[in-house]
Amino acid sequence: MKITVFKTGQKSVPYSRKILVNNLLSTARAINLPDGQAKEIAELTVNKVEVWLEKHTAVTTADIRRMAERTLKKLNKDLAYIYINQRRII
Amino acid sequence: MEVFIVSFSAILLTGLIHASLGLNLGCLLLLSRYSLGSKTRRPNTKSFTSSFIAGAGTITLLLIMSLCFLLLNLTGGVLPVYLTIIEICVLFTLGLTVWWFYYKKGPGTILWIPRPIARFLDNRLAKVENNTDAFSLGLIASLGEAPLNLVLIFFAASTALQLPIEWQLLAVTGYTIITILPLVIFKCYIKSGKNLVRIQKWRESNKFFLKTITSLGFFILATFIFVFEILPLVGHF
Repeated sequence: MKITVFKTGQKSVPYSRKILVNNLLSTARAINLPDGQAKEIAELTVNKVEVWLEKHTAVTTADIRRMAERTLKKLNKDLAYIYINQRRII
Repeated sequence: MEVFIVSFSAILLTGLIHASLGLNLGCLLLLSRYSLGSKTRRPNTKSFTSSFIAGAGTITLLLIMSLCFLLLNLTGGVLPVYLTIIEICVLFTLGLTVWWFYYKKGPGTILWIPRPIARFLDNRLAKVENNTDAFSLGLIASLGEAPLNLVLIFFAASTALQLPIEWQLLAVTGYTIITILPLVIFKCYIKSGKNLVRIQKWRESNKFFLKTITSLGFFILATFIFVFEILPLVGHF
């Protein structure tokens, strides 16, 4: 099923697993997590988010972030913190 | 000798207030986050942060020197009383503004700058490809805070002009160095391999402290100018 993702002030885009995984990997790299651990955390988190996404047809990027944060908090608190706060720095 | 001590103390205080403003540090934090997070740009993080700091320092130096030149030509280096009074009023207003609005309520360290500008900076910082990009973002980030720091730079320029000519360059350079000091400390921190999460957590948990220090700084500076520039004139009447 196609899921539409709405972005603040931008056009909506179809959901992409690749973008979410890359975003998590990039955030993990920024806090110096080892690649193997980063990949494992990203896969686990995206799987959890996709379970939640199955029940929806349209979501916002903020929704996805919040759902990812719930899983990330259990796996790595620093990663969860910087992932959810990167839009709240300036 | 007294003029030296008073002028340099004033410039030091002004520089510290300028340095305590958060936009430059926030942008540098985001720049580090994006370049450390990218496989291709990760090795260039150090040079990007250096270029950003150079950009921020250059624009501050250019602004203070331009204001010195302007004041020297328009007023002969001596600030008229009405301009000093306006300066004091603006400093008090900015002190109140920082206290009430500078850091937005809620989680994070969201600053009181228009959201489209914040989004623009965020998008540009994510796309930094070379040192020129980083340098120009340093310029833009400093200019983005101009409503708050312009009056500080103006005061530093007018104070520097009261010093003998051979000391003016030192005062102006000293001011610029003080303003970029937090950015240099941040760069050293990241260079030593430490995590940027700790810095952001520190900024977030000390938001109230930073806000208080900055706003008190504005009030103290306004009082300082009033005591040293206006009170002696009142005494003459």
